[in-house]
Parts: sequence; structure tokens; C-alpha cells
Amino acid sequence: MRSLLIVLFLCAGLGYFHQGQAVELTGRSPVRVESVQTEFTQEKHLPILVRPIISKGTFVFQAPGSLRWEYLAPIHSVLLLHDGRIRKFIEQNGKFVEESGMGVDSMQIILQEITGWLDGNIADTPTFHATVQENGIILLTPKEPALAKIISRIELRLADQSGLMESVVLYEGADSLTKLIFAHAVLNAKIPAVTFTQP
Amino acid sequence: MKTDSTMKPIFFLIFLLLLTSCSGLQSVYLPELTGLEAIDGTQSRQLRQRCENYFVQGSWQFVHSIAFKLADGNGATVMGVTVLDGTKLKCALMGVEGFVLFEAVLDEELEVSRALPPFDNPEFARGLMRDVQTIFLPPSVQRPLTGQLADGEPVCRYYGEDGKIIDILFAEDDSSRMNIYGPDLSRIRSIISGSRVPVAAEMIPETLELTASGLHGYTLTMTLISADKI
Repeated sequence: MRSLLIVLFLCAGLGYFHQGQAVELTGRSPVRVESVQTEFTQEKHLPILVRPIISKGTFVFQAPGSLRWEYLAPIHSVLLLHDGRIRKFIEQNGKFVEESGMGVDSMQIILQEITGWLDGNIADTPTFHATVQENGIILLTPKEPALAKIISRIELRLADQSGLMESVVLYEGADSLTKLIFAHAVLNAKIPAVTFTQP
Repeated sequence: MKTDSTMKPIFFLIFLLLLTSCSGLQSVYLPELTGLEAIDGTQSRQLRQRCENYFVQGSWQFVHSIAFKLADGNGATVMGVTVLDGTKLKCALMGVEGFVLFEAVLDEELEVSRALPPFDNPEFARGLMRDVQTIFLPPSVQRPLTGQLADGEPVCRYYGEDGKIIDILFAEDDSSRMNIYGPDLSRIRSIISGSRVPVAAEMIPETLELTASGLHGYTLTMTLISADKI
């Protein structure tokens, strides 16, 4: 579970925190990312699904380590990271209910991983090997066999605007994947702190 | 032993907690099926048809949000995919973020293809698939007894080969529920179906709430996200 969630959060974070790595891997000019706000559409593909499950939401990041990851549909949920504390809320009957236990502890470890990622380099991550394919896609493959059983690979596609990501595709198996497509991104706008403290 | 006066409220609190805990664990037993004579042949056929319609016919795929709540108050919300294909049942549980936590197929045997902690317990897998089977598939016994409970509520009663007894009941507000009793006649599961929406000429419940009784009881509240006839 821990490894799985690590990758999940890395996927979200990778979209915007890769400028150093992108320079190294793709030769693009660096952009200092202070904040990012974007919408996303998520497609979940599974062999047993007759059509993918579509989720929509918003993603907000403020350096050095504040995060708001909100799914608006089909399940309204908000994950907040601020001052090293992670909280997860699910909307039930029109009110947000904080989820406790069952995974929240794992999320704290995961988001610590993200912070490490932000300061580091894709090529230097202890978790993944990173290579750039001919089509410009950054391919991440797990170093640990245990993680590889859960996540076979991650594909990152950079956006035209430096510092942003167009999409992330996470492969869990041969026919099971999660694709996040980002749109309407705003880079380095001022974001109120309450965004990261209240659902 | 001398009891300090400051301890008295604590003992009282413990007593109250024990009292409420025990009341939560009180078993509910199979009610008597009475008023059979009030159900004539036509009524019985209509009721039996209604009970048949309680379950969807053919092959379907459902996606639900599932709020899982343990007796201790802890819980989580996941997305669940259920595929009904004849007697074959496929099930996948995902986090809200889309990660697949559990995937299994139940045909003649249970085949788990993916199970990540905390869903990697074999007992959990069997229990989950049993619950899904109970919710979506009609009892293997074809012909139920029909009648009324003491309060006049119409009921179809299925006596399973495994000793379980299943009651399907219909309320006046068009909601329905299913109560499952173990061989000792105590209630082990209760499933309440909310209002139904039309999909592909069938009526699909928008909500399903399963309550598992007992010391390790839990509640699953399932809210329909999509239903597809396949």
C-alpha cells in the first residue's frame, strides 16, 4: 500500500516539480516553480471496465511543500499537505468528513517522498530509473522488484510551457492504467494559505 | 478495596460503555413468518415476481463509491467496480485516486488477482466477495416462501442449502431490504436498498447500505456512480 501510494503522489507531484530534472533529461530551460494551479482529468482503465472511469479535479502546489489535491467527481475528496501534516477529507451528505486511519499514515510517508523528489533529480531518485524516450516522454521504471509488481512503469509527458506537465500515465499492469491529463495550468500565481488548510 | 470518590464517575462511565457496547451487539433473530393465509395465489405470484425483480437480470457493470465504516468508527471511502456475468462475479476496489487495491473473480472458485494491504487478508477477500454476491446475485434457491411478518410487511423467504435464510422485504415508501440470518437464526447481514433509477429497462438502487452484525461488525454504504448493461 505504501509503495502504491508513494507512486500515486509522485505522479501528481511530478507534473510540476521536475524543472531541474527536465533540464537534465530534456535540455529545456529551467523555470522556477513557486506555485502551480491546474485542473486535471483522470481516466482509469481496467480490463473489467466497459468504459473508463473519469474523475475530475484540481491540483494546487505552493513551494516549498504545500499541496491541495481535490477530486470534484465522481467522489468529492480533498487531500491537504501543509506544514508536514497530511489530512484527507471525503464529502458525505454535503459535509466534509476527515478520514482517519486506514492509509493516512501511509500518505504522510508518501508526501515526504515527494518533498525529497522536489529537491532532487529524477535521475537520482532512489525509487525509479528515469530515461527519455525519442518522443520526449520521460519513462520511469521502479528499481525495487517489490514496487515493480505493483507499478510497472510511469510515463511523463512534458507540456510546451517549461515547468509544466501535460500528462502522467501510471501502468499498474498490462491493461490497467491511470492517466492524468492536466489543463488550464497557472504558474506562480499567489495562493492563499487557507487553500492548504481547509477542505 | 476502597473506592476513591473520584473513581466513581470512571466506573460509571465504564459501566455505561459496556452497556451501550452490549446493546450494540444484541442479536436480532429471524422473525416468524405469519399471515400466510392472507396471501392468496395471485398475491403470492406478484410478490414472488417482485422479489425476482429485486435482482438485476443479465450482465451488468456497476461503479459505486463505497464508504466503509468499522465498528470502532474508523473507515475509508473507495470506488468499487462490480461486473455481473451470469453466475460469474468480478470485483475491483480502488482508492479515490484510482489505485487498484483489490481485484478478484468469483466463479466456481475465488481467484484473487490483486490484493494490496490492508485488503490482502484471505478472509477479507472471501468475506468481501460473499457480501458482493449477496447484494447482487439472487439466492441459489429458486422458489421462496411468501408471506407476511407480524406487522403485515410482505416478505419472500429463501432457505439456503448452507443453512442461511434470506428475507426480502418491501416497505411502503418503495425502498426494500434484505436480511440474512445464519444457521442459528441470528441476523448476520442487513442490506437496505434506497430509491431506484431506471437504467436499460431495469430499476437500479441509487444507494445500498450493508450492515454486518457482530463483534467485528461494519457498514458499507454504496452510492451508485454508473450502471451499464453489458
